[in-house]
Amino acid sequence: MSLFLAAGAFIYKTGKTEVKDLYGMGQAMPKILICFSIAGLSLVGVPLTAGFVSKWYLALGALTKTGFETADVLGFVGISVIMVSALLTAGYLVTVTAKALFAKRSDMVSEKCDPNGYMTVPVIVLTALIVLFGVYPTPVINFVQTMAQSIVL
Amino acid sequence: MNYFILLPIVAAFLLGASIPFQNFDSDEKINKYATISTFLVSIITFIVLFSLNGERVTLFSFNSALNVTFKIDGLSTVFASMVSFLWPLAVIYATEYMKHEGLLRKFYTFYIGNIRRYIGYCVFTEYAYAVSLL
Repeated sequence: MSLFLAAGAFIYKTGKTEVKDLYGMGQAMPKILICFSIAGLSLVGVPLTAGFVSKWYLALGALTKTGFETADVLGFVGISVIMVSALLTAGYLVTVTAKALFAKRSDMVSEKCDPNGYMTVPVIVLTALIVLFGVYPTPVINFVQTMAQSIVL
Repeated sequence: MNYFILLPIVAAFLLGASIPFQNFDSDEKINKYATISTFLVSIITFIVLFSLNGERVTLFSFNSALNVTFKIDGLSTVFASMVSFLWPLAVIYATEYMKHEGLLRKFYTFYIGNIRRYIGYCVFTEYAYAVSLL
């Protein structure tokens, strides 16, 4: 959702809708693009982000289901799918993010044009939660586990 | 039976449906109304979710196989909590984003009204009935 909101903020402020228009916008919209980058890294599953925690538990679930000692092929196929999807996500998101943050624009958009607080705050809050739940996921995991147990039992 | 389970759904419906009939002098007032309404529905939802966990209420019972029942269990709590947390954030974002779109009245009528759908889907026991009724 953070990515969607960040993309919306970019479109709203610049009126541009193509990915290539994002290149070099890091200096003009630093807050939005930093949030976009963190959310992108989370989608890839980089450690210290919420995306890593969810991928970790998916992988753990794939192995636990079958038992690590006698893990059948399906468990490892599941993990392989997670890893391949992470690589594909990295392929299409990290390159865009890197170019958005570090590339230089030919038309030199130099002045800052971050949107106002109404648009920036929700993006920052969601991104902060991505990092918070990546660093300290215990409360969310406990909450979800309690709820899951109430369904299973 | 605890009919308070239906409170977030009814509140969202009423707050959303009343927008076309209200006199707002400016877009700012519509934004303010929508923001307060969304936060209100979220707070009500959280209170209902965590105080009535495990409760169920049957609105209609046609026969043993055809019941219109709302229930709060673990899964509905997780998903309804997500909706209730994300919706207020999105309304703050929409305050600025919708400026260039116009049609705020229509947008917020559907926006607030739609919370009832998503919360309703979370607490409904039969998805097919939920689609037709909500």
